[in-house]
Amino acid sequence: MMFRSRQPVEPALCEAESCSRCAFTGVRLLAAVILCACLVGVSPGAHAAGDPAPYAAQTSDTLDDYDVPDAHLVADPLEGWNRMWFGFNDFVLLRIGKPVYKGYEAVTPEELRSGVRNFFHNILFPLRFVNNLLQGRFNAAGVEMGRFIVNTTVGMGGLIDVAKKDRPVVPVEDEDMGQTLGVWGFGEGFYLVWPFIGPSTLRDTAGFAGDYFLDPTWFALTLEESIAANGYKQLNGLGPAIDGYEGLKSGSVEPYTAVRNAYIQLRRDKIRR
Amino acid sequence: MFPRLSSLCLSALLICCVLAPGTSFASSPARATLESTVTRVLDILKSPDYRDTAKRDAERNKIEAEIRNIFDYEEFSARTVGANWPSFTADQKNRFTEAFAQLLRATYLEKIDGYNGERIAYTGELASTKGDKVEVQTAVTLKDGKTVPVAYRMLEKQGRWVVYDVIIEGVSLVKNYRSQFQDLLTKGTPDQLIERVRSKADEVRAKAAQ
Repeated sequence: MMFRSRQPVEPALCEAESCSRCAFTGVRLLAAVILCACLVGVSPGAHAAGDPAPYAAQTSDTLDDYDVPDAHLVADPLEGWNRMWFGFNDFVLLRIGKPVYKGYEAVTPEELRSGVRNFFHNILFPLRFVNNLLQGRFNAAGVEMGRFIVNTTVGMGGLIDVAKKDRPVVPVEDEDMGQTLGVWGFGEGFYLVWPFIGPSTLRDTAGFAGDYFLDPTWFALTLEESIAANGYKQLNGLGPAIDGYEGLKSGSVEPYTAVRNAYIQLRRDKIRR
Repeated sequence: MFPRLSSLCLSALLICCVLAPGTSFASSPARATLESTVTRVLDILKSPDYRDTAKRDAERNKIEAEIRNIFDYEEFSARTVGANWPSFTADQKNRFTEAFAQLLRATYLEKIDGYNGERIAYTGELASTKGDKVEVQTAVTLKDGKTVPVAYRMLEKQGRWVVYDVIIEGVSLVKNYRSQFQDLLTKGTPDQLIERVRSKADEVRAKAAQ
């Protein structure tokens, strides 16, 4: 579940050996990115690390929201169907994914795994950048741009996250299209569990499909290369997914509901912030 | 998106955090209570006695006492059961509170050993207009440099500030359990729910003992 396998939504898009359309898209995107960065006036990560954010005291009445029942936090009309895939994903993650990952973990050093993680995070820069722009977070987009440049050059193609230690001008979160749609006012629709991908909603599914077009591994590589690259990315990043899911499941009396609720709370918080 | 849920198991870290140096802000009583508990628990975790297997159980009991002191399990129980709580008998309320406390302890105390030098910074505070509730906001910095927001909701009860909810990356523990308990209460009775919570706590403990 929980591993976000980027199965192609339209697998036929990049089947040609040398896909000129994709290369063109790539060049155009890069041009757009540079242009935007110039307009935005990037000043990434120049601030000293270490200082905690200034301490703030505020008042709010949202602390008293406990009389509100949240049984119907999100509509789940396909609950039976969703529960089936939830069980399927549980099996795939814990019975197949976990042993395979343990084997991978045993034969690879942590430096390699974190390098791979950084690399894949770095090349997803267009996705975060564009979604920041679409949400009007121009400073955050600037920070992403700066990090991408620094990590790609000094960080040896993104293997080392050298920009991490610099405190950004604004807090930066990984933005995606589902959040963008949420910021634009689209509701969640209803809850959906996808095989391999895990919990989602109608809105996040639409966002997920949109993000696919911003993922360089899909438009810069051939289909076979993309599948191989993304398969490896999923494997390499499986550790936190397993820990997170097991952690949540072990304390739950009703894991399906627990995951649904946690997913919705998490996404709403991300959209709010 | 799913890996983010890993932070749900970070609850344990509330007690596992080094205070950020140099925050000399005049703190509220709620935050002062939280801070001093965190400091004491941390001292226990860092003490050589804790690494001594012979003394470890005694040290663990000390930590548990600290947590019992600041976590109000009754508040947790009433809030997670929610609208159904008044329909519970006094006996059911007691048994539920005990079972739920066992479950929370079994789930989160076990994770304390995973303490890995994570650091905590106090980032803000949110008070209700009446002043009877406070949300103390913190940021926990993990070993890999990632920061996770963790907030503690506290209220004053008989002159003491106690924690009634923990919110990790925007996910409220109380709300999460409430959705599960409501689900089970629409399908079954309070006694069945209590039994389910109790057997889950046993299961977690048995697994941890392995």
